[in-house]
Amino acid sequence: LPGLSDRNRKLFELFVRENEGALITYLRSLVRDPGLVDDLFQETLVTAWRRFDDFDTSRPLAPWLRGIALNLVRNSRRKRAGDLLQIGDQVAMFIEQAVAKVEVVEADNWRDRLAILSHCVDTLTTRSKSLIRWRYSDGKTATQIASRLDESPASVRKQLQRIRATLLECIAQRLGEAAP
Amino acid sequence: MKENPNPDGPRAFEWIDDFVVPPMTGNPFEDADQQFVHGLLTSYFESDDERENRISRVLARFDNDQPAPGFGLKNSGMSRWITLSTAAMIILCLSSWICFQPSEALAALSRTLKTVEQNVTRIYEVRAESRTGQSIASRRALLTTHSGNEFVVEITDSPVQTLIGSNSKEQWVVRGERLWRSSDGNPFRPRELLLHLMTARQMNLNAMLTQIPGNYDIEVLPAQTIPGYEDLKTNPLLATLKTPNLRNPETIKFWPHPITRVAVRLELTMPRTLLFGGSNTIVADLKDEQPFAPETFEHSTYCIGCE
Repeated sequence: LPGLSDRNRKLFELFVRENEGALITYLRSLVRDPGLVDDLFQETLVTAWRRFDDFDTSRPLAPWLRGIALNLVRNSRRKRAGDLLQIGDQVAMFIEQAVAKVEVVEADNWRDRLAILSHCVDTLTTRSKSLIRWRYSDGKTATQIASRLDESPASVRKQLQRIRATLLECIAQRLGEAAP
Repeated sequence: MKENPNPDGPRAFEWIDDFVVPPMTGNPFEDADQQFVHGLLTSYFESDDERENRISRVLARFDNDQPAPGFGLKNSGMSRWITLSTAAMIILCLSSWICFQPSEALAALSRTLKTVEQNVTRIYEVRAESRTGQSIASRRALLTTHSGNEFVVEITDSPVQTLIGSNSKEQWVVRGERLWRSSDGNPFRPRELLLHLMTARQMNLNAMLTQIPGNYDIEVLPAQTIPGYEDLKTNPLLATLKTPNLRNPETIKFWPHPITRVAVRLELTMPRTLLFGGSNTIVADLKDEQPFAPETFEHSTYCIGCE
């Protein structure tokens, strides 16, 4: 039909934009290689689109998408163990639940839902904020940050680990307040 | 999820902060906590441009999945590995190109051709890079080849197991747990485009023999060290396509081993087409030689119980 492919493309773009935030966060929690995350992100969305007839509309869409993503991650792991986390069933389940908790925060989109994290980052000390910004905004490794601070990489890793734990406590508290 | 009060040390999360091998803590709660916050922070600090680029790549992938004009078939989103596979097929067929070039430039190449006819299996590592604007996409594959119609191409960085093979009986494609065989008598759908592309030219040595002669200007280059082979020099050959077209590489450069004459490295620049995208290069390095074993080229070796 004339125009059908245009309509499909628009629907696909809406589908992508609606779901990309939670999905990419989920994949980044499971896979360390950014290139592989990108591949899996594409593969998940395209596979889901192809299998849309299989989707049970009485169930939520996002967990279905993450189920497809997790299967693809597991398939990849068989071939590229060195590039992937050793994902146990429990870890995958906890991450699934954690992403799902953020997903129910009332907001227009995933970006706005991440405001919950923005508040928590603001509560960090200046030094912790700097560490987080160097690591995640500037993309520096712990080793590079350590070199800058004249500290050991192990020390920086430990500090980042503690900061993430602090952030999680804050997020959990905020999510509890935001729960419907 | 609660923080483990006694984490087993900072090395546990090296993978997050240094991208090295990821030893885990053994405490799934702590692992999940750290990984989840890492995922959130990575997304939180992602710029709008990065996010839009990521979405654009998905949409481009969707567009590539649409039926190609003139074929009326679905490409099924496999254009990147079609690109690589097609390139690998071109590499496979260099022997037929070699034997029709002017003798003064190609006396050495005829010796390389003889190595292609040897009864051994050679394995090449193939890397394809596609540049579009500032972005670079890359793919990797292993090409295992014995002759023009006995080969296996495995796309090694695909999230889904993907292999294209051929032997004297049939051509086959394995994608995940799906198997397509030409001997089934059914047309390859929807991936038939892939096989059409390959069988039309690159996989058919006889067709190459009739089409390639005269298409390239060839020069023997000054001796150079073979990339990856320290202290080993040879005279590479550079072939430049006389009349650009969408089917042949624009240039083909290869390094024959100075003693064995086996082509140990090949570099191709591919034409800019809708299929191949922006500027593209393909590099193949010889990795191994093994005794010929027919089962190497059977789908059952790679895909047990495939449908």
